[in-house]
Amino acid sequence: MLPLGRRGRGETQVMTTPSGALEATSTEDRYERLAEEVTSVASHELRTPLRGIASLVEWISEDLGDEIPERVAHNLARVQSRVRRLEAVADALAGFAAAGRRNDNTTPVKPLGIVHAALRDVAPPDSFAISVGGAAAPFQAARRPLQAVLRALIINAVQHHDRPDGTISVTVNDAAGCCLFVVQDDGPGVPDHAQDRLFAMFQTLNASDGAGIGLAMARRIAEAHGGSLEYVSEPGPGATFELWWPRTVNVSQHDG
Amino acid sequence: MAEALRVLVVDDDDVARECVQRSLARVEAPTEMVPARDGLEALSILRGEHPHLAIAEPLIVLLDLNMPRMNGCEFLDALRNDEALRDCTVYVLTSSTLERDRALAEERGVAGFLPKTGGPALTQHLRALLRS
Repeated sequence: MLPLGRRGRGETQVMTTPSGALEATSTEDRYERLAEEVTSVASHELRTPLRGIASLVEWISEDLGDEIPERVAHNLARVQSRVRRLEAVADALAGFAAAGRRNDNTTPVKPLGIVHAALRDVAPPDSFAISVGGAAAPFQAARRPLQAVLRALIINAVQHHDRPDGTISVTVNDAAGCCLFVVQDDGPGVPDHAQDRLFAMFQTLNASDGAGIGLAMARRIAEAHGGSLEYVSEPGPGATFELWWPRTVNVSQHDG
Repeated sequence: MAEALRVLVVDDDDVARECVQRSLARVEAPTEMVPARDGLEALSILRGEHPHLAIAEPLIVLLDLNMPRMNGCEFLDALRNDEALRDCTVYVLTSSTLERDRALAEERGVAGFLPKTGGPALTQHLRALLRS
């Protein structure tokens, strides 16, 4: 059975050509590229005035020096914090636009090895119990984007856990022409009402949850590479994500 | 005393120009800044045709890419096609790493990229640049 994300949700349709290359249908592809261009330029254009505002606030503070009234200093700090927030949004937009670009620079990837590499990148707190298991054959893949998606899933599991001693497990398996990575935690899970916006941009469950960009970018990267990322948990505690990454070339068969 | 380096700052944003001015003031080297609001104005200053502003050697150009009237790439094309000006040293002021913009500027032989952020980061880059 194909994973949920590959049954065609009316988004960009990715098809495999005889040569094995992945192509998107032309109209959707054009819209996708236009959206990417607009997002990228909008992000760029936001930065200049934001930097200008940040500089002006800094100069006002410098000019007033020690004589700055407490209330003015407080409000200038509030302006600065909002500028930082908007700069983070601009960065996220740029990152999201870039995430839609397919990276064709593939190398042999060992599934368990790349999971361990992503875990090293994130370095979850020592109080977390981490387990890595399963077995899957090495395959040819774009390493950096795959590792970035795994990283986002692990960060998500750590950030949204409600206890310092949480458990995260990552397993790998061969399935339906893909390498299937399952990232599971024993945190509070995602409430039913929030599941629809789990992968939407700038959506967070709690006020302290960061920019709300990680899962949106992770799914976009996976889809740009012909894979999918789904939330598959039953209602209740615990969160399980399935990442299906297409196994375009099986390295052991290829090498053999 | 060493001769001052003239710095032609080409940017349509007055705050961005002032960022460079303030950073230059913190660099321990004699510099003189000349402002231009776009590529056309910068060319007229470099060619000695501007009614109020002038610049002399040695000089470098700090260039924004996105400007009205004549943008950074158009300015670079005009500069490289001008026999008297084609060897000018140009650094691009950038607030992002838009790959396309970066590639376009690199094709036109810029000497490097400087952060348009102002503050210590720009001062540090300018200091390194003036030492080299």
